[in-house]
Amino acid sequence: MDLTSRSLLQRVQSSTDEESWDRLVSIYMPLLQRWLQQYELQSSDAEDLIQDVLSVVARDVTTFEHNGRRGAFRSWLKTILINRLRNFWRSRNYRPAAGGGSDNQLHLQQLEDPASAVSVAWNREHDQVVLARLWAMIEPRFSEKTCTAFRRQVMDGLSAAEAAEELDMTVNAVLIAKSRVLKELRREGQGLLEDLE
Amino acid sequence: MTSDPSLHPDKKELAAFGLGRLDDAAHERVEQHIVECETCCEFLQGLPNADRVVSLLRNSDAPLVDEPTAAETDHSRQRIGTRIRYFGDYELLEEIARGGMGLVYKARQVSLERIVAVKMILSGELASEEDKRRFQIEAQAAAELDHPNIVPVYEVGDFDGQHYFSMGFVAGTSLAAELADGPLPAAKSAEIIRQVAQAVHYAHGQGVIHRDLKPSNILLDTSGNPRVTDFGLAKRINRDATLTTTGQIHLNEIETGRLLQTFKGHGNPVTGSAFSSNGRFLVTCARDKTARVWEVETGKSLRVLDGVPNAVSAFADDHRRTACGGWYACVFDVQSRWQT
Repeated sequence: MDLTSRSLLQRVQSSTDEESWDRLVSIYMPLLQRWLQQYELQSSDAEDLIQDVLSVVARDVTTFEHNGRRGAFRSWLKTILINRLRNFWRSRNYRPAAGGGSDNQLHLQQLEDPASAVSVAWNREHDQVVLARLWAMIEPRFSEKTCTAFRRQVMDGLSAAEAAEELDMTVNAVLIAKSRVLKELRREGQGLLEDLE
Repeated sequence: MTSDPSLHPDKKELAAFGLGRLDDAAHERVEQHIVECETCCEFLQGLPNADRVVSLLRNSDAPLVDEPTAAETDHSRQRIGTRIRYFGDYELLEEIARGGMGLVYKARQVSLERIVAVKMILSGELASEEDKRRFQIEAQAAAELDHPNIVPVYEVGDFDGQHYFSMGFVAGTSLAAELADGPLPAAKSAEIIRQVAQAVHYAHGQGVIHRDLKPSNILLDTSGNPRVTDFGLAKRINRDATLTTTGQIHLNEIETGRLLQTFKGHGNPVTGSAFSSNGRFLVTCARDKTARVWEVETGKSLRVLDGVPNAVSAFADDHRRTACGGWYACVFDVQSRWQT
């Protein structure tokens, strides 16, 4: 199979290719950082937790099998994170400050429940961060004109005609630009963001 | 498959094309057609942008710049640099750092004609009113600090709902960047930490705790002098009890012994440590090539000492030499010692 036609996750799973792994880390590190900020952890503890989560991912990603359900990867990651946070608080014999700890426990319980608002927030934040990072990764593969045409239509909500006029391109060309980039995003994100197909 | 322009793809396929959902062969075929077919273009233009990718990208948290996450690549970094962007009174010149909390830009403050650094706080960071209030108070406390080794905070505010603060711009590098190339000579490390310790000691005297002291927050100016930054996150102590409870508890909770254990558990080399008496400690450790510095209170760091008696005695001289203002500190390469 042509290497370029495989998604980032597939490349990470099928090889020891360090660049793909680094890219995966560069996607998930900021996501985990942002997510952990709500637990008021010491930043060094948060970094350690992130290292723990990522080392589990590194260890098990090759055997991670998509079960065909939506959001399987982000759910898997979420489970790892929940386990690590529980272990962490247990190991610290964590005594909540003025109820803060029980809030954390409650938050984790809700995070475990796929239907809760907390889980919905997790899903959304996951998809948003991953997508934004994927876009950053694939952007250099396109010409600047294609990128701009895509951004103006998708990020800034311009119509194809408006974008075409502004960029001095044909409407046909800006429509194609948008389609190409979206296609590439879906391809690269396959397995990480399955609602995108 | 044919690319005969007279054969229009069916509407379903066209819609899928518009959203980039076709496989390679079909995409190629429809694209060939679209290049020339005005009818199909018109149809595509009439379709709604009802797609999850589109809506996620459009509503992403980063409206400040077009592609904040793209700055990783040199390609896009250059492009950000060449555009003129205004943010209130600031003309954003280039992104100079990014952290968990937000982006930092080098900027020109138009009204005062000076170069500053502007830190944007990610929208998710200050979700509640309480968060916002706390941020304002903390940044305000930082703005009161005046010390040669502390990067001054000039202005705190929000513009169009975007919270930010501006600080002095330090041309140079950071301690983290320096350390990435390997450990520093002992004398240089000690001098850096001595100055940092003075700055932190001063801030503590003003009732401000940094809370996130680490090499990436220690900038080195062109003369090599350290300037501690990000006091905007500092917790105020002794002034507003309800707001600072958490900060105090965290300080008390630090157990460096455990942290070092954790590092060793990862199988990574630990590279460096510093500490001493009068009730306060500075500790630096390193995992891989990244060193960190913590503010630690009495008692806790002793566990580190208990665990590595040889290291302690080996460092004793250095400690005494770098004593300052109730803080004693230095940075050393302990890797070789601890691994024996």
